[in-house]
Amino acid sequence: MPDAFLPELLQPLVQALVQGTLLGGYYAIMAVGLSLMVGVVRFINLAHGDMAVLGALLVITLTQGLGLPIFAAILIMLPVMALAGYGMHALLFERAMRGGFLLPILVTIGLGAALQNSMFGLWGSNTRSLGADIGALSWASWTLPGGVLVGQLPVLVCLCAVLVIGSLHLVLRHTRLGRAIKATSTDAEAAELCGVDARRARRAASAIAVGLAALAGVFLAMRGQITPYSGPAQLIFAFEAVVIGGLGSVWGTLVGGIVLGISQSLGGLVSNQASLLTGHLVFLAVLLLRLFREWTAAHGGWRASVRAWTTLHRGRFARRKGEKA
Amino acid sequence: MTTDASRPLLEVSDLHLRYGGLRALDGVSLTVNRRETVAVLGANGAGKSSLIKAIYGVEPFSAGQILFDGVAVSGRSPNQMARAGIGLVPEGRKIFPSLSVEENIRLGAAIGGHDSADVDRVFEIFPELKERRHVQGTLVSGGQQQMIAIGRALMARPRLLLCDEISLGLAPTVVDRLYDVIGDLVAEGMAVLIVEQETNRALKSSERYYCLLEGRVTAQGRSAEADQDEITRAYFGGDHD
Repeated sequence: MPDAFLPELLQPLVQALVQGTLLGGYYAIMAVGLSLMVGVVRFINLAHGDMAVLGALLVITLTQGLGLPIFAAILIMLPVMALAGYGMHALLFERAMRGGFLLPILVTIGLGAALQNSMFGLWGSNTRSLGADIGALSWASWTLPGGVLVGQLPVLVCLCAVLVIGSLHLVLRHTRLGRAIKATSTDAEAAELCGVDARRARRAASAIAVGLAALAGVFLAMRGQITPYSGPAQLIFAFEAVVIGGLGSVWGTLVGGIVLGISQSLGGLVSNQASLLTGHLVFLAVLLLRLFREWTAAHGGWRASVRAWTTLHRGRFARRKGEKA
Repeated sequence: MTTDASRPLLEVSDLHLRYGGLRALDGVSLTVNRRETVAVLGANGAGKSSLIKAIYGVEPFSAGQILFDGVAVSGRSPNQMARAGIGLVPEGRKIFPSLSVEENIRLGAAIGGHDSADVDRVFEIFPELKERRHVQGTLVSGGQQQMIAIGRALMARPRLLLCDEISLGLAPTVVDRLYDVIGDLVAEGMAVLIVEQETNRALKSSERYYCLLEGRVTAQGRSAEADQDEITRAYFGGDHD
């Protein structure tokens, strides 16, 4: 209940901001692997969301089928999925990348479809969740002053996002593999000239990306329900977070995820449908802004760009006027 | 495996390399002995950089053989060459803007090995880099970037250092400093193959030279005995006064 700490009118707004920020943590984990793939490997994996769902289904099988504790199940699943990412890159993505720009897109669309149908064949179409495996954590919350509710699971996920992204930042900055990944993302050919095994760096990046996608999938299944076909929607959110946060930026992905989460939560104040729509509109606005900035940068700043544009159109206008006369 | 100390460290035999229809290397053979600096001279397009790239495994060659310390290393990747003990200071320095000075240097240890002790050694050789270790790699001067490139190659403790146009675009005093460092490395036991357009500088700093023209070795000999006219003819082809 709202109290004197927070005016009644503001309570839903603050609630939406808190929920959106915490939701952003989930989006960030989902997106950071994708950002790594696009930034380092220069490869857009359209099956990224399906990898997340596969990771979640593996954990569901290990916990609900084999009776393993959920933490142990996650610890088993993560290296398996990372290994799958490494192998997939070696066997599939590297060959696809040699086939030009279009082939990787087609290959990952096909991979996504194959994964979805394989998961449907193995696990069926029923919705599944890890909510029951984490007990009260799935619904428990703290009440802040002003009546703002903070879910314990979203807080855990958000903390996990900060931990994951912080660890990735440290790996990229302070380890040999990290430096190799960064150098490869800047200029793979030059990195090879320096003795870096760019192929190994790309495979490692792919392993990290798939592992993190699978972790995000587990959190998705903890927060709600999943089906074998839940992946593509998660891919869209991940893409939006990556674009909003800036391509290839690790911490930017967290910012992107939070901006997307807050946008959706604020949209949710209007209606359920407006929630997703607001997220997409913010993504489009950021995308257009980035394109505009690139365009103006290429034309000597925004003032010069506007001048050039008006001069060009004044000329066209004058010509049209002349034709009419 | 035992190594024969009297045998050249690097033996390149009859190397052929083509870029489509263009013949970049046409039967190049050369040797580099231990503790020796060998210069490869030639004008733009003579095939010098192609030779370095072929030796380091960047460009696949169509025919010929490369032996490093008596072992055939033809067809190996740059990473494998680095592991075998060959370091490269690439043309254009290849400094990564996403990495600091120190990170750029440490990148050379990406192939495995030693790291901290070696980075300290690089900072001993180039103290000015230590002062700027946290600065973005591309924001230091051209000379310091070349020092980073040399330091990075040294991180893997190579036995043979390939230097591609290290004097390009640098002030003479800086070039002198870099060649002094190379001289010290050779005195410590390293072998160096330098590729240069600046003939006098390269001849002054090397024991032997090879001159390339259109992918062929047109002259070779001891640098101290090099005849300027012969070099000029070998460098440009035909008669030049």
